[in-house]
Amino acid sequence: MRQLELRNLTIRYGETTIIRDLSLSIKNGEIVSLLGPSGAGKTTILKTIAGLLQPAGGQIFINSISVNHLPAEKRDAVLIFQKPLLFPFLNVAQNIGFGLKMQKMARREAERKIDRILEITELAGLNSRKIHQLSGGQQQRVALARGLVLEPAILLLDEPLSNLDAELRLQMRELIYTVQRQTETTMLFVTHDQSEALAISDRVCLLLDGGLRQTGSPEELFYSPADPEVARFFGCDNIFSSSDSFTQQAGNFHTDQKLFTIRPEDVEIFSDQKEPTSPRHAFEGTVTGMIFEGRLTRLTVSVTEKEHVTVLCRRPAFHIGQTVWLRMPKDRIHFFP
Amino acid sequence: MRGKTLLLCVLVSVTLPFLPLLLWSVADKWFYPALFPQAFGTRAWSYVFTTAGSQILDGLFTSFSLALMTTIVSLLLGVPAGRALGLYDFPGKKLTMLFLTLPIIVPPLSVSMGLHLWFIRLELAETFFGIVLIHLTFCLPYTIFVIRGVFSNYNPDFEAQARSLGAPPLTVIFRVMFPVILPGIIVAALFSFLLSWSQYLSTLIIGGGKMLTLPILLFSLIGSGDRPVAAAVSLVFILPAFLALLGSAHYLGRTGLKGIR
Repeated sequence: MRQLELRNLTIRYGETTIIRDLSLSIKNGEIVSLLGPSGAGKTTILKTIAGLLQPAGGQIFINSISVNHLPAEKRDAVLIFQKPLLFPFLNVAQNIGFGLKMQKMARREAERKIDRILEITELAGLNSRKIHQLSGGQQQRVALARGLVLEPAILLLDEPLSNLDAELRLQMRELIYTVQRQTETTMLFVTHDQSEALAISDRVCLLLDGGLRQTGSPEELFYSPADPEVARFFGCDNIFSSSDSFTQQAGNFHTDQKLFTIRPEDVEIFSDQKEPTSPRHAFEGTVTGMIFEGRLTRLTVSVTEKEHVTVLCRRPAFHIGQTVWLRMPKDRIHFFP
Repeated sequence: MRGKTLLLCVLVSVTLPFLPLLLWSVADKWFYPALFPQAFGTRAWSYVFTTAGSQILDGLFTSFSLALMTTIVSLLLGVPAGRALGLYDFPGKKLTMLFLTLPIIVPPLSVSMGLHLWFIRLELAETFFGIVLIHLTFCLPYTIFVIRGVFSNYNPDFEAQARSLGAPPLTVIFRVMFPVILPGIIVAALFSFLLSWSQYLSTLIIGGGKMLTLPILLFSLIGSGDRPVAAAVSLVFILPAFLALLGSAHYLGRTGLKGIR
């Protein structure tokens, strides 16, 4: 059964069309991330699914039922906002129980559910804490618990990690992942952070220019981008054409396809022509740029005046101006379809 | 601890000016240049409680019901208006704000005199409802301004979140919006109540002397030159305002405005 299906969803804001003809379906128990640059309309899509905004066109199905005309409170979808938005006049348990109270669930049953969800989200014992006594990470977890406890057909998460610092972000990411596996809640997760999307999701949908550019497993999007723009989004600016002068040297591609890409970390770099195991396809270049990024260093190697190859490597022993040899392993090269 | 000291300072500075009133109300003889009354007595208070007792009680009742009615109406109109002005942008917003300040800018005497003619024509003069209306011209703008301030710091996403958690629109208003803006509502209600409570001129003009509110009684007593009695009635007049101040200081001191963000 399909938990969520969007058919030709179009969303306008005033005169501008933000999302055009977007179609997407999410299966039961799946965790899908909607990835895109800031301002791409990701939050708008979530709000539309949740029923807080009206689409200009298209259909939204939740549990195979069209929900276009259902108000937000009647849809079996819960949106968790970027900010925790915990009600300041309620304590932790009351905040989590808010939705259950709306469903008029019996008190004992509600308490049991609240306790269980507090356990899962590692908040046990904080039932009667006031909101302002919680840390940022705890607040975000309460917000997550408040959605999870309702066991909606689909949980919509709007950048739930963006307000947290780096370490908390990792913990929260882990937590969302484990909680999702435990509760088997179907989730649609919005983020602008590719590493978040890749780490957490079964499938990634890349949103560019108001439409889905590519949908697939994290590995597919990362290693087999559909077009140069997708590749660039994932931090790969090695886009070359097989007609480029140096590519003749780099290997005999025997193909009609023109554009190809290779991940910067897949390019091999040597200080001596004799070093590569198959020196046949090595080609020469000069290091013209070097940025230390921590774990890896980003090198820009100019092959000709206009052609540059980006290389990511660990602890490079090169300096700017040095002549180096590059090799592009054939199995790492991806031709755009 | 520091907050409590501060509160105490505020309370002392607010209550200090009333000391002479207190002394006057229990003075039997107090002539220049004596610093304190030469003779004390309960004449003024016994006048307030016995001779003029029923009149003052009536005045209290009239003033209270007028102020209460004015407060209720100004909140009923002021909360939606303040929300609209605080949260949304719409054409004519600035003009509306200017329009709202008019009754405050224009001297109350002119407003009351001008409206009096209309009220006579509409048969609203000398009626309870008419006086509520004239009080509203002063109370409503203040209420709207206070509530607008509350809403300009208010995050409507709270409401969207509640909707998404399954709360229908009315529940959102009473269970989410209302608790969040409650401190602001209390401040606005106090403003409105005290403003109506202390209206003299407009009540006199529109009421035509028929609505004997406490301020009107007070002015006639001051005019008669009996200072101890005027002082005693003044204290009766101040009492509700003072209680309201204490109550709100206690409440707002406890919760602050933290619920707003």
